[in-house]
Amino acid sequence: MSAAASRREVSRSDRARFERVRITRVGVGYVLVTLVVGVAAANTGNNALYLVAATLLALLAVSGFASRRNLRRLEVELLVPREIYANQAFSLGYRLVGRDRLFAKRLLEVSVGEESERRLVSWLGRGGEAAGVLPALFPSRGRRRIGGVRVGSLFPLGLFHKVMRYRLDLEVLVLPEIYPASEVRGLAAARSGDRSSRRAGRGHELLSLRRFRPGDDPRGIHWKQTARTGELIFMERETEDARRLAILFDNGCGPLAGAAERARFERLVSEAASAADHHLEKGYEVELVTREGTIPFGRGRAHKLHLLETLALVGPVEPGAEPLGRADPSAPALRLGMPGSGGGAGGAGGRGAGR
Amino acid sequence: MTASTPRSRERLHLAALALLAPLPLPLNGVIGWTSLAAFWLAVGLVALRAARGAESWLPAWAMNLLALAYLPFLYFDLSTFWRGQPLQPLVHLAMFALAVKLFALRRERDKWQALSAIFFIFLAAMGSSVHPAVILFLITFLALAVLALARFAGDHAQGGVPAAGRRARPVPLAGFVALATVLVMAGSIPLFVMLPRLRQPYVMGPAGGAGAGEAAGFWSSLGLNTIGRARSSRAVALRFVYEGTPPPETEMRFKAATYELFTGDGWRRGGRESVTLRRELDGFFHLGEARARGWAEVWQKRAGTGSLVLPVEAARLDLPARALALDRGGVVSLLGPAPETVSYRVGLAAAPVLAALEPPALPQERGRPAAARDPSGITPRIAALAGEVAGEGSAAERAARLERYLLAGFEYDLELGTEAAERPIERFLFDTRRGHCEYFASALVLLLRAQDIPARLVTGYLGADYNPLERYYIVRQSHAHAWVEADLEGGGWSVLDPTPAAGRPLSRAAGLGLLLEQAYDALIFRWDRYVLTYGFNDQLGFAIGLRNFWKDLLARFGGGERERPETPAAAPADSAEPQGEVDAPPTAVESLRWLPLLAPAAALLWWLRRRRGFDATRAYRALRARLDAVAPVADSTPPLEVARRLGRRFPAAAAPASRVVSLYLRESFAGERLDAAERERLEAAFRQARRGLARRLRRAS
Repeated sequence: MSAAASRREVSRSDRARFERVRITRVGVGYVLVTLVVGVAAANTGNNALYLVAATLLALLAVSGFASRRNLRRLEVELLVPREIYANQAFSLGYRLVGRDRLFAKRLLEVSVGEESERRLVSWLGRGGEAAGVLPALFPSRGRRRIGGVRVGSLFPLGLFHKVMRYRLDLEVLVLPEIYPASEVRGLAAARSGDRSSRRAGRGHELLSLRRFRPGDDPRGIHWKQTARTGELIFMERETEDARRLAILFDNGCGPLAGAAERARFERLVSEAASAADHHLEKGYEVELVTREGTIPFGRGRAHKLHLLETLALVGPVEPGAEPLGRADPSAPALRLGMPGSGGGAGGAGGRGAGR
Repeated sequence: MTASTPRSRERLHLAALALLAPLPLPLNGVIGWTSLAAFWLAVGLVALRAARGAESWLPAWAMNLLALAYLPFLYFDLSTFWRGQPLQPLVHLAMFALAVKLFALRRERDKWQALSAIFFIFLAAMGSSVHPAVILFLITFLALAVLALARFAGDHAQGGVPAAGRRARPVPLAGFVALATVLVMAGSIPLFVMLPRLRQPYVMGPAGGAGAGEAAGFWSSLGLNTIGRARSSRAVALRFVYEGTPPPETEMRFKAATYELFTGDGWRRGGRESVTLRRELDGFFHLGEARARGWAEVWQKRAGTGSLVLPVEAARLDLPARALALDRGGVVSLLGPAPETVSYRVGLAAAPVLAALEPPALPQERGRPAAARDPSGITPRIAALAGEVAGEGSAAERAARLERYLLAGFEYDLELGTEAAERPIERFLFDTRRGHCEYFASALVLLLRAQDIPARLVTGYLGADYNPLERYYIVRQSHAHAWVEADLEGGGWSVLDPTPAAGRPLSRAAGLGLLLEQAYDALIFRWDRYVLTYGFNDQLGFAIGLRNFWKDLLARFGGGERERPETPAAAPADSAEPQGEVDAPPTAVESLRWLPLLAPAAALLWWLRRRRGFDATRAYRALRARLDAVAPVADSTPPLEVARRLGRRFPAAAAPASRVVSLYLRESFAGERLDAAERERLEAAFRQARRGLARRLRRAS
């Protein structure tokens, strides 16, 4: 994760609050022992036992004070990557700075989610720094909030596990989950079904071998085939304009009823995103057409992010009477839509539903 | 030699605590030094092997075998239980179990079991200690325990959570342990003061270096050299402080025991019939008709007879007891076993009261108890001497002549050794004419009895050292003394002391030694006063003092009228007797003592039983715990991985578990609140997942 591709957010103690205190098994045992000693002291009137009970209580209080102090007076910095995909682990960079002039910090567990992976910072001296990465994961696309960085600790005695949240109020856009190309059903069919529409041009991919005609560029002569056949054979290349894919995502399916419907819709969004991602990576121009609008053909990283961000936020809308319009009807098209979508699924690669 | 693994470190920490925990037990007489030496040997071996990084330890079967082997010893050890030493077999058992456990430390819970045994031994050591040196023991144990617990917590955290960067080394803890120990000790003082006292202070174990009762030898019998031996000791018998101005010209004579039967070379106590003394309406025990002119507070070490050592002027007694025993000799005792240190207040009359004190409920044969006329030891020579010296006159006149005879014609000598002689008193009267106070007193008793005057020997203390550091008086064993009480017709029982002034106990000369002794005694006194015998009345006094201080402060700055202090000690000495509201029968205020104890218990109960709302986090944790039961799940395992593992192991629960995890991630990670419908779905998924898990588990079983 490069610095350029990340956002840097800093939180200090004044934006921190205690989120949770959980008593551990050792803590439960300690409290019970303290109670037993207290009852024994009260029952016998033995002041030596009172002394022990008072010491146990004071230790409990000191432990509470130390654990609180251990989690305070920190500066937490989080580096968030630019692209975050649903259901795909990513790394959040963090940096802790001890702002306590009196006490060092010990046994700090850093995490973003409550049960997301944690990382332990065993020792952070006065004014010291510690940095690392946190493996994290968002399960679904859309706008998500990273409320803050949780810093927990068992220090000092392991009686309580305290967690303090350093607030960040950071919103990230989680892009749709990207499947392997093989899992995007209908994609191969969409591409092969449109093979007839390919045109000769000045691209890189081979379209066909044919006899050399007057006017052809001599640089296109395939010398090996020429030598083999005794005739001038010309290497006809596919035009770059022909490497296009139109993704027709019909989200006009109305309100989704039930979890199964929603899961199916999410699957379709992910398939659309996967198709876009794979083709853009291969240099295709990709167009996205939804009921809410069209993103015209384009290529490159910025175009990809535009498409994926649109897909990250796309939701079901009311069905439309018209089929989805295409800027280039000759370009191969991947049609994705829920059963009963207004425009229906059509075209060579059109599909009714996801799996 | 360093312990390389966390397990070795654990063993070393536990061994250090185990070595320290039983240290005071032999000093307190709970166990013998032999037992402790054997225990230390075993624990030292554990520590040595742990430091060397030994990997082979005691297998479980050997541990069980050792437990069986210990049973016969436990059987014999338990016999001491019935001899009044219930702690000894328990401590032996705990020490044996601990030593074996340290050799067989494997699982995580073994560590905590060992720590529990260590704490029990530590508790036994603390509970049976009365010497202030126990504070040093407490501080050391506290520091080691904090270090061990912090290290355990560190090892647990480092084992459960992946470390950032390279593998973390043990966390530096020295500074924290030192600071925490200081803070804990400072914080425990107000807690000790405020913790609710439901019973009177009870002090067990032997005296902390004083050995008062044993040194004084105030038992049911008394040798002729007992007091002489006791006077070579500087051990403390009691301490007292006058509330207000000390009475002028007071003799400071404390009566501890009376002896009636002469055995030839010593004394035995006569019949110990006693009556029960109860509080009067004013809340005090009345020891005579005389009114108390002043009050003193006494902290007495246990005496051999179990009796209270009271100033002979004691007329009122303010003691936290329901009843007391008063015997024929005018000695007041506690009804139950005497604690190591007992504290009470006495109201002092202008003249001796105790000598004339007789049990009111016994037959009124005043002056005619058979024991006080026992003729044993009165030889013809003694009888003849008595007749010659006493002459004619009333009993009081004859007694006075006999007393003067001994005072004037005999020398005081602490040289011992005549006890073994035949007829030692006759030898003292006719041959050596030298002896210490027991000889003088014994001789006077026999001479009085030869004159048909009932008499008895009294032991106790005369005089006291003043401690200017704390402004109280210390009565030591060196103040032990013997004198005589005689029933003089018309005058009643009176005190006669035939020991010459040179033989009466003296205070030690001033000097550095005395100053050091006083400083040490002040420490002991504070310990006895403010730690060992600190009780509910002290808390009440403290609260009243605080209130007065607050009122005084307000008055000072607010200009109001300052109130007089209400502490019992502030009562003027020459006023009417203070009323005994402090020791009045239990009132509503006393019943409130339970509240501070009950309130936290109730709060804890509420906290444990409170119903927490069902949420995705709880559901997820429950599922993870189920998985953890069959296949351990590390703390760092992400939720989706947990869901995948659940699905693999429990296919029937795969789908619902996945739904639960998905909702959980939304709720906890993305910070989204689940709405009511989603919560319902969560509960349904959770129930379904649990059914799936149970089905598989049933099939497996």
